[in-house]
Amino acid sequence: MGWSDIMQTAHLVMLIIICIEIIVCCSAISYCIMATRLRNRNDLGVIEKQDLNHLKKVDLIGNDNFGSDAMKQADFMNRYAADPFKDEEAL
Amino acid sequence: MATLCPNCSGNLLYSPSRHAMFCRMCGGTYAPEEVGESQRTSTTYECNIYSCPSCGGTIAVTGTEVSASCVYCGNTTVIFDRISTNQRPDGLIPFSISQKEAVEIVRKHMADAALLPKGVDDIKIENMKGIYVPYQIVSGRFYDSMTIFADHKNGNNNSVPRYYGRAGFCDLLNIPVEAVSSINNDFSRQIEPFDINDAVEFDEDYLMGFYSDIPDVTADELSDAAGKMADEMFGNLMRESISGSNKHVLQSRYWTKLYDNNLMLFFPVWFYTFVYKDKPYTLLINGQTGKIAGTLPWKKRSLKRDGIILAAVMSILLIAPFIIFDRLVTFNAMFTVGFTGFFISLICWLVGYQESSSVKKNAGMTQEGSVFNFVNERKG
Repeated sequence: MGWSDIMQTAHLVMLIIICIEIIVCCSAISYCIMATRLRNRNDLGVIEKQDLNHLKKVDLIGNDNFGSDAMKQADFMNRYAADPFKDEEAL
Repeated sequence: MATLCPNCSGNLLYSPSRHAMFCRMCGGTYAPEEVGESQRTSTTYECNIYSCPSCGGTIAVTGTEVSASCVYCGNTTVIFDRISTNQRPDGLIPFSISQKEAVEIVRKHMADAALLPKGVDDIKIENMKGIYVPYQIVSGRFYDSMTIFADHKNGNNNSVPRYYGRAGFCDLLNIPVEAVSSINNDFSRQIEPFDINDAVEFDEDYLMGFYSDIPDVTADELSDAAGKMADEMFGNLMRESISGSNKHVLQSRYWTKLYDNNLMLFFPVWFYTFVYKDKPYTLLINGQTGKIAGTLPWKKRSLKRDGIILAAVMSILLIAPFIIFDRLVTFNAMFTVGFTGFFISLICWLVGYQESSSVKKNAGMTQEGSVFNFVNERKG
């Protein structure tokens, strides 16, 4: 078996792989088109963004920027985790 | 309990197109406050309660209207249960969209729908029922703490993740919360918003020709629903205060304390029910604005067939050049096609999955099982 035979076999294998990949890719595109078609034409409901006028007198007590440090999230959540209305309810 | 025409003693019904009480016998129109017994000093009103043995839904009917089918699941056998004395709402938004207009809205959407099964578009006007759905208009105090993610670009135009923490108090003012457990909150939110500036003082005459539902959510459920909505609003407000792209709330924790001075208002909703393949479907239409919610059924076999044909045609068109020009295709070209195809596939599968999940979720809510999920859970 010469070098050219090996290359020819490799070429054929690659071609088969590419064909399979094209079929998978076209199936994905077709699936996406069909799902989007149903979503746009048969699914009639859309939840609209809430009207922010229902929130008044917003008073921020915690306003931290952690930069790229995702680990500081847990500290922040723990710091502001207490139920602020607990004492009011007890009263 | 019926309101009679002062001219001919026929039954008066509220007409959304005339914005008045209308007599079908003599054609007379009257303002609701001009006719009927005034019971505005009373804190209650009476109505007949019908229950559905199929789905467990109950419906209140005022006047001489007789409930012949379940407005929720379309079951044609509903049973008169009792005469009920209910808490009088503080007000209501009268229907502005008439039954015929609601039918036209459904017809228009059905005409635009993809692969709609035969027979579904045969709209039966008697299956379109107008219901006043009780909403509590709540106010209170709210506390939220959350972390937010955002993408930023650095000097080299690369994405850099950024994390933010926000915690704070705010006042909640007049948040409308649906107060009936038989309708899924996520479903009813799709026909919102209602403009409460159009609300009028409650008068039983507005209910003539329509049904009404009875508020049955507990204070805790009301607080949970209001908190969930407020958390969403607070998240939107905080995201607006942050620069960057792909902003989303990573985690949040919130507490709500509602004041006791809730208002109860009736909001107008048209329910259209139909049955397809033994499964009941319910579409909701906002009786004030005409906004519609629900998912129409589709021919599953046709959808699969169309998908396979589309995929086959695209595959043949793309594969053909590789077969025809086999000798000219280099390894580099094949690697490029391979990598590109992989990423396109990945994106399309993800988008397709997201879209189909959303359709399936809404289709579930449109069908009886999910609409009454909450009720069935409560029934244990």
